[in-house]
Amino acid sequence: MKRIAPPYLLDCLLLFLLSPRDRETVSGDLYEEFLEVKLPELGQFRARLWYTRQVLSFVPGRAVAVILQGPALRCLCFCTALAGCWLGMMDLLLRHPGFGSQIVIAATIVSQALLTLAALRFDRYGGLRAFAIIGSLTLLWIAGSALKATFSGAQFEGYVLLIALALIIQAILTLLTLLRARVLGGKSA
Amino acid sequence: MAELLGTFEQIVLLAVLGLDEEAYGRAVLRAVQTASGDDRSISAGAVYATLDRVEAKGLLSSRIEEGTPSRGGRARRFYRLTLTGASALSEARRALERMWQGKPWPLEVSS
Repeated sequence: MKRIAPPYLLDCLLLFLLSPRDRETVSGDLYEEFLEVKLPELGQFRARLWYTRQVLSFVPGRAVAVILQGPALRCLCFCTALAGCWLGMMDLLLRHPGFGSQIVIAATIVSQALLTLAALRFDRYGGLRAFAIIGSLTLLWIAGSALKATFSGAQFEGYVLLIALALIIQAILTLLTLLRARVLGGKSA
Repeated sequence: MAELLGTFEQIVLLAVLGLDEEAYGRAVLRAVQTASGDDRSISAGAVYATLDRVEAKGLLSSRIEEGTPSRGGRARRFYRLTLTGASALSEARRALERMWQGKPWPLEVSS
């Protein structure tokens, strides 16, 4: 007799959603529950529905892990660092009135991106984390001021809006990631 | 004072404590679902995420054992309450008992 198993594609999705540490154990638990309990109790169709629901319940956890621990924040930091360098270089070349303060802002954007990357890489140094948190609050203030100036100014500057939004997302993700790491005592969830 | 445990963390830790030597992922999941009275309301993702989180906090320890044919030979992770976990659970219970002291039961709330 052919043995009924959980849908193959769902099994693949489950393995993708789980961390390498939990991959074998959690998938084994669900497989065992599916075969021994749900299949005899609920029948094939409803047992598969149950399995689907359990697999999908791992999606939010995986999404949080990708956003808060994965490459998303690092990638964003890299982009804002490049944007900061570009802004600073343009200010140096064009030398508009008040370009000094613009260069300070560009330097702050680059420093904060590098600080966040360092805090993520060397999380055992609590000082770095504290500086990155303070820097993120500064970024929020800078981005807020830029947005205010963009919307109240006569000339709408799309690139300022884009960079300001990227900075806000970076600051919020940094705060969430570092404060979460602090709650967990520096251990990954 | 140490950080108090959340309600769901307490339920998961108590399930591990109650299962003793048999506290592996699937058994904990079933115990938590049974305790909730509705096994559809609690998903595996929530239980395993909590197990991972409390283990990262040092409230649980785990060990891996070989799998059986009924689970396709996949390994099982057994959990055990640590001393830190036991004291965190005790502290959570003491705090609740202090808060409940002198309150009527069942609760009477005027609408």
